[in-house]
Amino acid sequence: MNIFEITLRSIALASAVSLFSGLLGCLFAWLVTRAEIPGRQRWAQWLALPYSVPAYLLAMAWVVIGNPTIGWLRHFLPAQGSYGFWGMVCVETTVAMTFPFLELKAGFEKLDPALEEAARMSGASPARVFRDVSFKLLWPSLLSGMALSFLYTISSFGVPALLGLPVRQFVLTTLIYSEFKMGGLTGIYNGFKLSAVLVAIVLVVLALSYALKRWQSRRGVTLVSGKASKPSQVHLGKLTIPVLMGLSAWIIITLVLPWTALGLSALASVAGDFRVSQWTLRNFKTVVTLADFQESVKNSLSYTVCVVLCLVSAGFFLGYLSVRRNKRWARVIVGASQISFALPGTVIALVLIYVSAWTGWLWDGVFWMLLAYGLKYAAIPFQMLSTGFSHVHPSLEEAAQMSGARRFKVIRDIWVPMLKTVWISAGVLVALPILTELTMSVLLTGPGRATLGTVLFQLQEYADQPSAAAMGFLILSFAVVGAWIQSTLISKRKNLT
Amino acid sequence: MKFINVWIFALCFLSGACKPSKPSLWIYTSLYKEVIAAVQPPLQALLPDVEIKFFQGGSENIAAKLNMELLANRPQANLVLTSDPFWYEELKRLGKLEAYRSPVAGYVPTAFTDPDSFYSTVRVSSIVMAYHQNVLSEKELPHSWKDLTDDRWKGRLTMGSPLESGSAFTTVAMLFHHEGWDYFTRLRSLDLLSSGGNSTVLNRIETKERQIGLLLLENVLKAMKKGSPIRPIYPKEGVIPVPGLIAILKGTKNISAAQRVYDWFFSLEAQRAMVAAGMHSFYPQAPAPQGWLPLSEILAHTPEGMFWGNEVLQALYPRRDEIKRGFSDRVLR
Repeated sequence: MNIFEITLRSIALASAVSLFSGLLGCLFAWLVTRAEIPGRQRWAQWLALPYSVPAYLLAMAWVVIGNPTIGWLRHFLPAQGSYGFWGMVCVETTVAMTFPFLELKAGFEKLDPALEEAARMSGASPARVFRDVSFKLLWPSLLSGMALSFLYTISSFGVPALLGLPVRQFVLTTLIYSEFKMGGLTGIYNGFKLSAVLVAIVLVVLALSYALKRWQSRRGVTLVSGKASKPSQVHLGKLTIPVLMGLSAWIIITLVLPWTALGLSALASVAGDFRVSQWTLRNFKTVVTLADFQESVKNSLSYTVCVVLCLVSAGFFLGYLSVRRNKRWARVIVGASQISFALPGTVIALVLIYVSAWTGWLWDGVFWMLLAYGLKYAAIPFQMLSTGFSHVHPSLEEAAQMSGARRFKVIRDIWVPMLKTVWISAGVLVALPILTELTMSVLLTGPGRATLGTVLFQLQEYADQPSAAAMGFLILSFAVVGAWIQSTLISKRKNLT
Repeated sequence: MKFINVWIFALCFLSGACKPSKPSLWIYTSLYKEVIAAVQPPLQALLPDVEIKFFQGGSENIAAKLNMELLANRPQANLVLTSDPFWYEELKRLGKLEAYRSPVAGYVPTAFTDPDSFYSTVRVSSIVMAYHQNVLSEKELPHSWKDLTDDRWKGRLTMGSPLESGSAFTTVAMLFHHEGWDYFTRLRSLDLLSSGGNSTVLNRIETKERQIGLLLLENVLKAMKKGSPIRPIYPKEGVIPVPGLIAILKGTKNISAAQRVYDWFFSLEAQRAMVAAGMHSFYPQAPAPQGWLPLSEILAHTPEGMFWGNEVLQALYPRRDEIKRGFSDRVLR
């Protein structure tokens, strides 16, 4: 095993996930916005839900479902089961698919339907309308979503640790972690060297993404003209039933199966014994009565609220300044946020620990933990809000200004309500991973600062795994229910407006 | 206005989470949560004016955490109670520990106590082989550590990772000391699965993913109490003792309270709590964990190369990094 081979594997993994995510995201976004299928809004909610699920919980579940020796579905899987490269690709894709899906769904919703209508009225088939109109206008959104999937995967740790390490398939993040765990200066030095390789890959992807955006802005593409009309739906005919079955299968594989696997593992009195006669609630009782669990709920919620408010506020103003006021420094910050998003949490945490050690600042506070969360997840609201600003035609702001409105009034009365769904979504999309963050929290948490992720990790590694499954099941259930409530509220609000 | 209200609410919420704690004494430990739950009330009763707080994690993670705090020159821990003896030796050499000879710890054998009184063994865990009784019959079982190198165990072995677990690291160090690297090279060729901590190993055997594992006895006994089909094997060369140590950090403000806590851990009450959790105690009146051999018998049957003591520690300490990297290169990658 050498670094070159591991680097190639990391790039191959991120590329494969990005490709599959793009294909699936594109298909699903088109289905929920342009196809005539029953309950489109509900399907959209279900398809976006995996984003709210911590990927390491899915990996925990897939160890049960796809284990090559004992997994429920082992007979339908290759020899390695859910372990190995393709196992990692599949599990990462279930979460990473939501990036292009959400970007494209937003793009389709904002796309002026008159363009598609015109093509359709000229006799173009739905496939041709998609290829010649929708895709041509939305491919930057698709590539942007795929870039996010790539960055998410190349920096992810939990899935490669649970599904790659047992078959000795290292990627850069797990190799960095293993070098840091080696102890001593050599391990730390090697870890930072590998981090530099990772940062270099990230910078290349970001440079390409930046070049794409520049080219897009030169083309002057805007998706919203200020007028609103409802797009007509494509009738699927005989394909409706197979499409619905395919969507159901996707939801079952990505959510229902993992949720069931964790639930049954949590009910088992002995790991792996799923007989109904052996079910017990003891593992749930152990978790909810655990003082650390109660403390972690309080801590995780308070840290999340604080970071989300900071990031969404900053993202809103940075988006406004970079897109509407064309401030270079704001664009640089928005771009730089993607670098830290793509860095492995372990690297961010260790850099911050060293900085805090050198400076001696605020060691006892939660400052460094909040900063780590902020650095890691700033890219999501910064990017979403910048994209949101760029999708709205400047004529609305110009009209308000010509009517005598001052800048603050324009922001308050035009941009805040106009981008309401974007900033609420950005807040939720940041909140969900922070609430259950593991990689950085394990290193940065301290006495009295347990988080949901760290308590789950301790239960999984050092206490008993059925209790970890119980906690994982609770987190998964709350994450799914929370995301469901959030998306229902947004869709209700949309309907009202 | 609404936005400002949300901000105020968030700050109030956060201030609750960051609320400065009362004067407290922090114990960083790898003891399991149920042991902490058992020892905390009597400790709190012993020191009503001090808030006793625990920070729990795997030995290697506790070490990583405290090392960072020491690097920042702001250690929050007052006492440490984990099971990586090499780390205690390192802390001692760096001058980070407070020397203290407890008047009540005289019963601990000198081989398990630092000669300069910077740390002492407060409990002894044992690494044994463990198997799933519904998968393997008694006839099939291995009888010694060396038996595990037999071809028939290909794809059936598991152990914790020495990069994650202090007891796994001590196990690797002792087996390396006794058998050399060839032993691990052979296990690697048999596809030994090494990752996670002891809980992960237990889970792999219970779920039948692997059939034999190197595991802490306390995990086996705890699982058996819950009705698990997992059973221990006592290897004929002897079990691998993993000393759990205790030390006071240098610079601890309330040193007398820390010393009282240190003493209490050597009391019969504390030692019984350790035994109840499946660990062995040197305390003369403390029994062996239920269903297991007494410590004296275990140590009497431990061959010289596997017997833990200061000499072994001093011999292996300079090779600590080499052992981790050697294992990582031969088995993990």
